Amino acid sequence: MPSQLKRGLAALCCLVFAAGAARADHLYVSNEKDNTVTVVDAATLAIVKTVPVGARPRGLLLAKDRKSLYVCTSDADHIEELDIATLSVTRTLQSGPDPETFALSPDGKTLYVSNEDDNQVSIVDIASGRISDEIPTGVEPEGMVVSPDGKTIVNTSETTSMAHFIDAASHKMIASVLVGSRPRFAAFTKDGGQVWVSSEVGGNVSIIDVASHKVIHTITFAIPGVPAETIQAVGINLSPDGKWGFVALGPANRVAVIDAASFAVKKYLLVGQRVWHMDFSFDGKTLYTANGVSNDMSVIDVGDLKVLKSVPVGHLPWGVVYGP
Amino acid sequence: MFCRTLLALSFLSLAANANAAAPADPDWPCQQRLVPHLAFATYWAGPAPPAGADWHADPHLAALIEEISPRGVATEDGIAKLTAFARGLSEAERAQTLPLAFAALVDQTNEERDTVISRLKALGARQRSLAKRIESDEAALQATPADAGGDAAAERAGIAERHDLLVRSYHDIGETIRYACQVPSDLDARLGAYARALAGQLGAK
Repeated sequence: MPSQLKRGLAALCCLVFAAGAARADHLYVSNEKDNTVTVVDAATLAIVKTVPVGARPRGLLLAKDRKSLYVCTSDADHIEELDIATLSVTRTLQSGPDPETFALSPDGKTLYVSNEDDNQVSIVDIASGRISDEIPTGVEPEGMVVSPDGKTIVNTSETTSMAHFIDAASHKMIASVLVGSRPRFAAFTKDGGQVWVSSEVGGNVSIIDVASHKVIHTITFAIPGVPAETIQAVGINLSPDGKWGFVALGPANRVAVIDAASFAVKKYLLVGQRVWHMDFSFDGKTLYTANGVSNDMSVIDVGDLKVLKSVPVGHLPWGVVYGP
Repeated sequence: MFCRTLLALSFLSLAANANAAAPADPDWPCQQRLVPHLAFATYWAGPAPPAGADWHADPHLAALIEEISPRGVATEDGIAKLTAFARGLSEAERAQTLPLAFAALVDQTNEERDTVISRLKALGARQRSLAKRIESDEAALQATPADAGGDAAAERAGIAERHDLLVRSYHDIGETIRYACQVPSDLDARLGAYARALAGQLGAK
């Protein structure tokens, strides 16, 4: 082969490799104890970088343009924006005190942050990085979610055990729905017709019909041989095809797989210890879990409903987000 | 006085928050919910130990369990010993013995945890008692003007001195609790690591 052709092929290989590397997806895991975000290559599951962030990172969200990641740094009392291209924190946004969980408006312009310490939801304008309004809500607000059409915000309050429906335009409370004890997390179905709310102490998931604001079903969990008090429902992820609901059961070390049509529990998957929050790959074929006690991330094959691997990350992983 | 009040109230609030996590047991002082006993099935999805099997009956297994169960044993050291033990068994022996080994480790870890949990509850009860006494002294200090004279001034000074001692004691115990609350979680983490190590050896050739 002529040397010019060899050089050309080598250059092409480099370009293909570089393009492939640029396209590789990553997992971002918040390590509550280490004050870091671990960045893991989604293809190789190798750690790419450990990014120092503010004190006690917990909630994570990918920006709508997928160019940055928002991190609730709870003990720093603000939100940090991590630039995905450089893997460094580029700015901070206001959040109100002790931000733990938050939600992004579908237009990508607004963050809704629950402030557990002052019983409020802070509305953060992402462009300016400032709080534009505060909404009084129930005692110890926790879970936050926005409806797919962006018109309704749902916030759960731990002490009052309620899911509060708030009109996103007027910031007025529309309805409060009693759910299981200590509600932690809420997720809308893709069509916006239901909200699933997990309850940590209740160890169950309430399915709320959005039109009537009524609980239409409560999913309960029972794992043979596992004490009931360890079954603490926390993270919820509904599969993009609408077929399955996945519920993280905390110190029961299980992810429950729910048939989203019948609400029946199909399977319990043994994952790492104190499984807290989860996220799907962009194609919905893989689910990743952050496991707070075993300091790892479990990788689940959604098609086979099998746990494939455990990936060590930092200390006390709280949440995980799939991104570019 | 105002600062003292705020200080005491913040301690009381902390105690209340800690207890809110476990309303069934007001003396449990840790943020995480109290899990009184760890269960075999929480960590293990593999085969159960043979019915009626007693790990004490196998001297090699019993020695291993006694060696790696104490709280001070590092997870990596325990895993290394478990792995070496498993590798000395045939595949058929592993299928019988490793589930039994894990059941034994659950029992021994629960014994270790029971001791720690009892101590934590005693500290939690002590904190609750201290918080009540601090609150009572706060009320007494507020009821007596800071510029009071004569016997009232002497009495007020006595209460203030006791109050400061109580607050210091509360703070010190709080630090101990903060450290000790990590112990049950560490034992839980080590037990999970042991489970994964043993499960990994079950299908090993």
